[in-house]
Amino acid sequence: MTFDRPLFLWAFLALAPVVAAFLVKRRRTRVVVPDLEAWLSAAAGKRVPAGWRQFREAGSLALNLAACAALALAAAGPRPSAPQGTDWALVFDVSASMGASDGRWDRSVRGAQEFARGLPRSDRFRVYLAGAVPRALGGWREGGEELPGLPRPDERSGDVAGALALAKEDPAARAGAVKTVVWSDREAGGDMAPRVAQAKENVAIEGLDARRRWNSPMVDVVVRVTNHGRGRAAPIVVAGFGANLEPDYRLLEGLDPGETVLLDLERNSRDGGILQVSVGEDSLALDDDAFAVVPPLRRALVFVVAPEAKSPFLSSALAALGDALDRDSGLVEPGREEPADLLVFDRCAPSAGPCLAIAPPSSAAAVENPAVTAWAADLPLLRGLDLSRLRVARARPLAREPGATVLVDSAAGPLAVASPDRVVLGFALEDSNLPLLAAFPLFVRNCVEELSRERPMAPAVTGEWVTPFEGEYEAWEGGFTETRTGPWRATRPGHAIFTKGGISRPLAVNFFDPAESALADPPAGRELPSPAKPPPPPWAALAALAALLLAADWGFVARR
Amino acid sequence: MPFDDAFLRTLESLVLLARRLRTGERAGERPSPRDGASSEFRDYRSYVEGDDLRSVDWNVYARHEQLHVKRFDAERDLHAWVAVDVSESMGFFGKRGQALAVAAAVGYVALARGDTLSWGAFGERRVAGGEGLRGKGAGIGYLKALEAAPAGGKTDLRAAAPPPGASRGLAIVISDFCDRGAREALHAMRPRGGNVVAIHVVADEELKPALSGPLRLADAETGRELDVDADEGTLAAYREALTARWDALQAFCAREGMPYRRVLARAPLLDAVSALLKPGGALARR
Repeated sequence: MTFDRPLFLWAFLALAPVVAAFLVKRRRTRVVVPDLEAWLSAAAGKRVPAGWRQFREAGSLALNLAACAALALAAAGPRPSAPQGTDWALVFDVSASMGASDGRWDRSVRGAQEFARGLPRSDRFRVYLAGAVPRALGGWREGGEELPGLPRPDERSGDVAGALALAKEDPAARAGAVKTVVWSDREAGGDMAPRVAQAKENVAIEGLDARRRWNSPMVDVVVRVTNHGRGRAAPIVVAGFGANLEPDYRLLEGLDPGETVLLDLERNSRDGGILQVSVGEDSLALDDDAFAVVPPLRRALVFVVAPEAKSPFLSSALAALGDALDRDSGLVEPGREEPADLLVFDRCAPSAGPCLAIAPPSSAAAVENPAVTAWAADLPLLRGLDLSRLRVARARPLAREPGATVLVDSAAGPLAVASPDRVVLGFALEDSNLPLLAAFPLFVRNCVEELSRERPMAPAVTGEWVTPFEGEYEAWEGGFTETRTGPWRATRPGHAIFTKGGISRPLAVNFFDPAESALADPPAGRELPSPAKPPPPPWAALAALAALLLAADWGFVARR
Repeated sequence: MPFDDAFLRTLESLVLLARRLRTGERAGERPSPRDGASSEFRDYRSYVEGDDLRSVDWNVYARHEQLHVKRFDAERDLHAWVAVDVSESMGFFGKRGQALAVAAAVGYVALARGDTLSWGAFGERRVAGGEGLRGKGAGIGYLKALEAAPAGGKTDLRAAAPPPGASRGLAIVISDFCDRGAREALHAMRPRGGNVVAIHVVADEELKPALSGPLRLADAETGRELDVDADEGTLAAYREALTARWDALQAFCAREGMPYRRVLARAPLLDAVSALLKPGGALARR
């Protein structure tokens, strides 16, 4: 037995005044009357035996004491400590779709709050968030308490299964007593999953690619739009970027339910900037806008560092880039640091920064005629290249370092690897036929594009962690700048700009998740059972008992 | 006692009423069966030797030639005995004051009428009194003596019996009759041949006591105690018992031929005296 208000147990001291009052009351008031004869006659018919009178008085005292004790006990709020209640894991899907404008999130929170309030105090509940990373929110709370403050649902995905597993394995939960309730607009497990959503129309942008043509002010834009609703939709797509450029409107004639279209938009811009593509606002705002970073049109500054004369193959490849190269590009001495877009180290040790290292000094044994077995044609560095005819006479195979990507592989080992800011070739150009292939100038161009110091970062999706720079840098997002170190998490669609040492790297963040955009088929749900009517609190029974005792005293003792 | 002139004039117009007139030996204003020398002619009788010749009616002799003497009524006084209860029980609700006032009024009526007045204040025994008072001049002393009568003690109505000299007159007993032997005492006054008038002084507070709850009642005279729960039922039973007791006294007096009058303690004195004027009472108008 526990008490909600144990201080009221001091009220038991009130029993002493009750006894005192009884004793005082028992003392009769002495009244002098002129004559006792008539009183004697009156009392003769009502004479009560002394034994019964004493019993009646003792009974009255006992009833009053019991009533006072019951009242004191009721005021203290007794609560039986047994039996053990149920532990409820309240799982909230915090993926972006729960933030749809039909109010499903508010409905879920409201329903959960009512459910928690209706729980008996012997039960406990804990909130779990099923986001991209399932996690618990706060500790266990008693039935009847308020929910903790919940975040808005904007995560890229909702791992409900993970949250359920987390709840089931909660070491603080009572063994065998955990039941789960899931508030989600997806089919979810759990012991109960009330329906929270209705089918909603939604047109989503599911992809955006903006790419500047080589050495051209023209930007090719491709937008992927899907109708996730149940009815035909005719959205207007708006695309625009740059400060002085009118937005481009494109009306789609009509999208059938489930239909996806790829929309080509050609834009002319030398300055580049942040491209924003929008469709009309609908049930889910997160997928109504998409962003892309378009780099400005500029010439690359490339320096070639070579211990001897510049390779004629390299010279011809760079010459093929034409006016895409800055006129200051050229040969520099080894060890000289230049703020270039790309440094090409030909047969010498590379320094820090983005560079293309060709046959750097290596302790690896030379291999004769290694056969090319594979190349990563899907990587941007090898985009559009055909290396099937690549032959290498002599090479020093490279190590497979973690974080590095093998561009060209052979039976003897990697012949070309790429890390985020450099590409290394394990063979000299003169020892292969690569300079003779048509792919070579394209490879150099890709290197210039992909390894440039101011190359745009690959667009991120919400929830993704990106590392724009090593060490400390400044991050700008939504008008606010903060100094950070280490990875940065994209939380909402838009764009951010990272700055370090005078170098700015813009980043576009998008919400591309067809699963979250599909709002058309919410599950029917399994409604919550009516909360079991809690037994009346013991204090009410005690108060009723006190009233009964007082009534008994008045009716059967005091009144006679 | 509030005896103003108007009230005294009222009293002087009253007379004590005795059903069986037993006059005294002194001359008074009440008719007596004996022959007397008043101016009230009664009848004639034949002259016998020794009669006073002055009483012979010579006119009759002239007409009938027989000697007849005229007979006149004698007027004697009434010996009134007023016994007033000053016991402890009379000290409640103004009963004693009303009893003394009534005693004073009745006594004054007797004195004003020329009757002989004896009186006694009694509790367990006679504690004050006077005998053979006559004339209005004795009234002041009578009133002062009444006021000075010591109060207290138990009620014993045997102490209300008239003294031998007043036993054949009119006895007026003013009391609350809180005495179990009241009836026997009243009855004992009768064989002496006197008239007995019972004036019962009662109070509303006695009939409707403002009591409630558990009480220990103590008798004012005996000190005897009784525990009662003064609830509605008990009070009703008490009222019933008290009324029955009073009615039994009244019935006893009726059986004995004693005038019985109930006087309220809080009533104005004039009202109390007026109650004695009613048929069967102790007073009458001249």
